[in-house]
Amino acid sequence: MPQLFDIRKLVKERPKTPAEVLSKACAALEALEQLGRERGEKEEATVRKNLGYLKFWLFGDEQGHDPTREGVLALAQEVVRTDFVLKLVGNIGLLDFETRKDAAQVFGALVRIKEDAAERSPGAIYVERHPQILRLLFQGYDDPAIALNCGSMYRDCIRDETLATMELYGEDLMEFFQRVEVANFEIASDAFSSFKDLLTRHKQVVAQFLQDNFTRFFDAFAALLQSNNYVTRRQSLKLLGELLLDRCNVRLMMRYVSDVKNLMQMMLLLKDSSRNIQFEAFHVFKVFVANPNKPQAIVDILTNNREKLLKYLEDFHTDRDEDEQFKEEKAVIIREISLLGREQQQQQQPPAAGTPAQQQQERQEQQQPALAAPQQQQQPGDLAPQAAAAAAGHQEGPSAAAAGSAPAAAGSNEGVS
Amino acid sequence: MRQSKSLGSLATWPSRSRSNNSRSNLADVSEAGQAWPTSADDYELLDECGKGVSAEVYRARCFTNGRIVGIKALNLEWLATPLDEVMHEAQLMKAYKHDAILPLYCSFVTGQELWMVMPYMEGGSVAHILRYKYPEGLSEVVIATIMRKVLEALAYVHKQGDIHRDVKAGNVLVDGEGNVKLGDFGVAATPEREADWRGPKTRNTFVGTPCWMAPEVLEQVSGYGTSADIWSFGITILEMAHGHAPFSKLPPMKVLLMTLQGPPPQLEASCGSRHFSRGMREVVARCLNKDPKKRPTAKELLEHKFFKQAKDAECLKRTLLADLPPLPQRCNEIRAGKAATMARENERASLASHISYVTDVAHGKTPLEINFLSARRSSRRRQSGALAASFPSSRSSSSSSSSSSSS
Repeated sequence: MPQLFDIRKLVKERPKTPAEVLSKACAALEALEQLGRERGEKEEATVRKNLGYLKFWLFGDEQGHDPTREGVLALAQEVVRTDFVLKLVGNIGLLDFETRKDAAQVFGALVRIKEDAAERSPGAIYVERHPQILRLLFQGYDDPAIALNCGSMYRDCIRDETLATMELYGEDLMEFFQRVEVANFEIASDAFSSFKDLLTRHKQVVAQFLQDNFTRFFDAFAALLQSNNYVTRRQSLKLLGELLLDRCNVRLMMRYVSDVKNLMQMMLLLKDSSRNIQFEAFHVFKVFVANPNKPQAIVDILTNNREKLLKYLEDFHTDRDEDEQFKEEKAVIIREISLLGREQQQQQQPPAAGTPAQQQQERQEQQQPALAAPQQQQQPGDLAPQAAAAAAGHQEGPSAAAAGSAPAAAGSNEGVS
Repeated sequence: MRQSKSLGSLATWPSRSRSNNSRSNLADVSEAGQAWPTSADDYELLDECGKGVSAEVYRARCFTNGRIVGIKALNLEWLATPLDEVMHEAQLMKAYKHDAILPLYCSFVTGQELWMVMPYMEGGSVAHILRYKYPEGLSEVVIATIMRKVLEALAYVHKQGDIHRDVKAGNVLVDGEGNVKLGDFGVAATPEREADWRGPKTRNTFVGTPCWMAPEVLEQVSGYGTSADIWSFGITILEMAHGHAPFSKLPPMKVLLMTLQGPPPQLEASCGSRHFSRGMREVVARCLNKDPKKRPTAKELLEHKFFKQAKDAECLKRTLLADLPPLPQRCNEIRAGKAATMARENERASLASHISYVTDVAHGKTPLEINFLSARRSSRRRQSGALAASFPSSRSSSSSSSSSSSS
């Protein structure tokens, strides 16, 4: 194992200026590129040594040398006047294991350091002007030796909104769908972290992107949800839930939950062999059901499967019922589904005015064995008032929902179209 | 995935003939050019040698290169920790290259399990050896030899700004040749480099195993840094000297109070027939300083005379590992209660304390767990809470449509 660079030695022999360090490092990187790894040992050592200086200036050391923001910023501005960053990224595979980590750390600081939150980092601007850097980093996932270094550098880049936007609309994004599926777990999971960062860090940009590329993106995403790889399935489903339920993505969500294909996929995931996946699926499935403006096709599917769904949801993760929120949501979803058929029947045969409550009660007994049966078992003698109460409750449900949904429907329709 | 999985075995197949130099993203190629297949079909599980709540460790053979490996199979479905932490562990192990740190050859998902392929550590963990054969503890030279390697590993880890957070004899592993390696980075912390380009200076999360946890970690007031590992290191020396950690037979809450309120544990000059030098006692005392700032760093400790007596791996092979039956057999014996008498009690006690710890955590009873649990809860709440708020309601529809048009 190569000896780690000793920072204390550095401090003693530190007569160099940043300009000197950078030109030495660049020259060594160029030579290394020419010579290759085998013959470029000396050059590699030079790169390592000069990266050590940069690290010291950027991060300080344990002896209490603490760099100032101004100093680091000045350094970053000096760095981007050279081609150091480009050369470093281009040749990272030729560096030793420990040097690569130093390179990633220095790179990360350079693309992140900025005056204040509103400003952009000089390093990020440099990367924007040399977009091949992003491509190189992304392609780093091909080489297991550098994949994780490149992954962390890539994530450092996409903290910058402009760079993230470039990546969202660039060719790399769609390639992520394959990257996150490679068999090697460390690499696949690192790629997934980058993918997730890209889709969650800059919410407004992402919302716009997903609207522009809805079909292409979610068709590809559906494949992740069907992956044979347990981790891919679980992680992508969780990410989907986060995306859909983000306030920035309301339009996106409305469009997603209006598509029968998506509902069917979610119903399958609700019955996945993994309970964790079932649970994540519930948090997406609930949106389809709770949508006050369900398209007829969605209503049909839910209605056709109503009894099976109700039976399944009744017993669904009952051990989690101490989670009040979950318990409550499950109850809402169950009620909503149980109401669906009834609404439809009401539409088909206008209610004989008079005793709607009684009719509902009868229908409920006929159509909802899953719900009614347990009640019957508990209090057989008391069935009628109970069912009536339940029916009354139900009656309250749709009217309240309708009141809320009618105006919303108009707004969301616009979003969908 | 079915496709890429079969590709995985295909891609590594030719490596039997050693002609496969191409960089495949499906197989892991280590520096030496050794390719590790990433499909369960390419490994034969030989024996089980370690079992936890959600993980099993196997001795296995890799078909493609014939080597004997250790495979840690984590059941991701039953794992209490979020998947992100498992990912973090695998990535972290890949970021280390040190002869005293357990390397990860490769890892892959099979069914609901994550298989982590590592060297087979034939000696097992030092805690396991203590339990099996040395319930009263080890001799000073053996301890110095083991702990010097642990210290080297810690110096390396700390240099990157990382904290192991679970240093204990149970995570110190020995291979068949007496080489010591620090393992289990499941709860290790790395500077994620948040808002600042330098990353956080201290941490607050309550993780580790109570008996080995530093006061400042338990206290959760001022945060902690790499010096928390040094405390655990001191406790581990005591563990090896006595056969068990101080307070290991007490319930976790009691351990917590004792660590916070009582004086730090000390090493006595002699324990049974064994004598411990002044140097060794001094190392323990300095590591177990309740003020983290006054503890030495790993690098400083390496200069201490106590570690100068450390011998090589060969010595451990001759002493610590002498006459030890193979690991799977020891596991079975311990399970069947045939090992040293004390050992059984030890295990039961430590198991009991571990279980009660886990259940406390699971039910959120331990007030100190709040950090971790509430963070997870609130994230779930945020997601589920969004159900009510997610649909544009009559009142908010105008505002939401205006905000989306502006985007």
